Amino acid sequence: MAAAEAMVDPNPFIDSLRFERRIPACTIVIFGANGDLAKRKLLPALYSLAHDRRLSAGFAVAGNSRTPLSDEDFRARMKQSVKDFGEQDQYDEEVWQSFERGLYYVPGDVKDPAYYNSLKERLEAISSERHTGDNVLFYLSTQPSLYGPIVRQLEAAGLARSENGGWRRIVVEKPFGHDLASARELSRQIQGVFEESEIYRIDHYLGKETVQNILAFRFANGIFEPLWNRRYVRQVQITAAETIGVEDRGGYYEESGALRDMVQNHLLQVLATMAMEPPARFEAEAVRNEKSKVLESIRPMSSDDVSRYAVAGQYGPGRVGGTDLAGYRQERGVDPESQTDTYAAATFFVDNWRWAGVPFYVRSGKRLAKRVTEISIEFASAPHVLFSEQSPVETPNLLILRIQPSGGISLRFDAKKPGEGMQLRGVSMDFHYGSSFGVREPSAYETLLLDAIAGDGTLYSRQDMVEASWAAVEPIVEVWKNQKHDFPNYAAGSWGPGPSDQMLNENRHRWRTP
Amino acid sequence: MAIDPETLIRQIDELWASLADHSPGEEQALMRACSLTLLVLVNEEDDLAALSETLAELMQSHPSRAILIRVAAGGDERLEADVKAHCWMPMGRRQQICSEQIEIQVSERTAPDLPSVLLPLIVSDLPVVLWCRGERVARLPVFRQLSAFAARLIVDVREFRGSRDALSWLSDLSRSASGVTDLSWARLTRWRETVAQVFENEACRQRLPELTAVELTYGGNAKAGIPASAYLMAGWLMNCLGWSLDGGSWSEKGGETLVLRHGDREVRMGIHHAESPGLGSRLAAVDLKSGGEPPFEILLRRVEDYLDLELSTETGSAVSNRVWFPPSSDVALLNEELKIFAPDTVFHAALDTATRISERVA
Repeated sequence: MAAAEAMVDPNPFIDSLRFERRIPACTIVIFGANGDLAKRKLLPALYSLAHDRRLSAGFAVAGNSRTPLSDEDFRARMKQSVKDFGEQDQYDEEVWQSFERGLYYVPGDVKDPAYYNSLKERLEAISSERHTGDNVLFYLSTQPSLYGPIVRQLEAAGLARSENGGWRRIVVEKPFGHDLASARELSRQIQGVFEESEIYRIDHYLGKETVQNILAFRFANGIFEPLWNRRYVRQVQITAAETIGVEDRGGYYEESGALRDMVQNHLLQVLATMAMEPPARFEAEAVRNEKSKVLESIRPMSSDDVSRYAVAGQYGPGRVGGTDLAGYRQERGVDPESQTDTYAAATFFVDNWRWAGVPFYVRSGKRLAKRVTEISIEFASAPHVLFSEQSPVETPNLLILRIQPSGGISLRFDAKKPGEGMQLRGVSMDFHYGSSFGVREPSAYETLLLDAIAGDGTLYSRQDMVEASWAAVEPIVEVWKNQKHDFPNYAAGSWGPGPSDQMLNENRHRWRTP
Repeated sequence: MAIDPETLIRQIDELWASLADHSPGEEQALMRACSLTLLVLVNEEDDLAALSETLAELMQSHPSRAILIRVAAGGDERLEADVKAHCWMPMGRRQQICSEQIEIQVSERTAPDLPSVLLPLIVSDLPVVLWCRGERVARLPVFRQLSAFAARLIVDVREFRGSRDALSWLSDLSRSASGVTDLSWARLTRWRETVAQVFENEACRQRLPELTAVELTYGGNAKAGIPASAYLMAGWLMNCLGWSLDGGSWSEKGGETLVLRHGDREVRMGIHHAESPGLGSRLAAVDLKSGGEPPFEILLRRVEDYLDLELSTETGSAVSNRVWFPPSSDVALLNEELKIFAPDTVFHAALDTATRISERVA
């Protein structure tokens, strides 16, 4: 592909100093276009990009699901989705009317080979009508069990390769398998049809501005990197806490749980971003190589380790702000005797020269006290404490990288209180991402969709990363699967089960209250 | 009257101390944010309230020490200063972030004293940007004096009388100072980006050599002549297309047409006025077209607060697109300019060509 691109004349109108990224025209084929993800995330993100002039004029979407709908019906549904789930101040009727002209609907059963012939015909017509250059991005937003069959049919119908010089890419939504073996099998099926460079495994956490900012923070500033190692860092905590329960995803959640749903993908990716070595270049392969090395360096847990280094939890009923909250087992679609973890905490060790011996505490849970995702890095104390009489309680320096709800960076340090004597107080120096740059942060899906259209896989997971993260959590999965948990073990609205605190107490650490 | 810079610095420190006293939150220090020193040179008659509002908004994205210099015409002895802060609350947070603003009033007579006042007030180790509003102050000797401090000089030739003189002045300035830019150029970014986006399509790119005519349309008062933005757009398009100013030109009602060369071919560029109520003296449309068959045409038109794009690549086949395209505020334009500290070679090349076009059609 690189050779083909090199032959194309460069665009003489590009002004890289001022213009946003170059985005070619293409058609996005969304399998599962009538599903929640398409309605809540994908279409609002695409409309938002169109509103901000980030998509090319000939951009098109071909939605698929089994529900028989006309193009007009599909457009009407998507319009409502954009109104319901998009940013309120961005909806504009005139812009929508222009955008919807590029929306098409190709209904059919994705297991039926005949469907792909009609899809092919439609894509050819769209390419001609919209001048997309026969570029097609397939987006798998269906049940994971359909990923393999869809990919095989795309190949059989000749849709996986363009005959007219366009490109083909495929975006795969998580879960990438439910364990290491299934992840490998899924990969085998997709890689049998698409090149690895054409496969975009989406982890929307990596599209968040603040996760990307970790890279900028670490590698654009010279002052932090010298401290970023086992000599100065005492512990790292990664927290992804949600206040909501499983809502209407009980059926799905019963099959996944917090460990698979959050830790295996999102949080280990965040860990890798935080702990990676500086890449030689800011390019997809260089960045992903370094992340992959970190994930492969995570110490595998033995069965005995799991009881010491991992804690499962499940929320029971609770009461928050005068409102009674149901326990997980009372949620719709959930087994009343469920053994599914809605909370997972684990201590990982990254066995490399930079991080040997530093615990990485990772936790994620539903129905916790506060919605927050952050990385907290605790630095070692000063080697000699001068002010122990004035401030008997040790207050370590903390660097907090906040991912959501409001991204930013805080540095906590001690300062002298103004006035007589040497009284110390902790102060927090905050960089607030949204307010400091005064611009709307693009949603993670906006960022990632543009990346895929532009052919930039930096923020997408590569197969070796997926396998390494499965390898890190699989021992926990195995032990928990064969264990009868004493669930529920934390109340909705609390900070999780007691054993999670005990896990840190062993190292005389404790969870930070975000 | 005189200004003692040390007194001003002390006043700034006192201001910060008083703000800290009223800062909410025991554990939160008041944030003082600064990424540059922004010198703003304006006419005394400029709307101070609107300007302060612009600066306050700008400071949320580019926290700075803003030094607003209001220059009165005439020869009085005015040289006065005042200090204030702009504070804002980050979304959903109690903590305040503040930036400082110093207002200095001078007359044309006392303006030469400004450099000695400003030198101690410039924040160390951070870039200095000079934003000059209005033709009168831009042509004062003090503007050139202050230019020496600045890594970036931002002017707006739209506010100058006579775009040909304005472009000539801007060309001279960009030859004698570094980091010169113009808000008229920044107003074109979205137009230019939309044109560039079309040519991300390889099929369109392959048809570039077929283009034989470019037509630019502007609104506003026809008697005011072709605005600088239209010249700059023409200059940029010529550079991108590799067209040269080797042919002649002729005037006709409502505009100018230039005969240009592209290799051994003759091509044309027209710049014409069109009645566009409410548009002002701004670019109204850009039309790039081929002369042969099948037709190839890219038409961008501003329609109220939208930009319409029509792309025709063969008979009966056209893609149309409408995007949100409200007029750019000063804050948006300055935000764009303040992100740039690298040499803007595209602008300088466009300015050079635009200046030569304006001289040709004069």
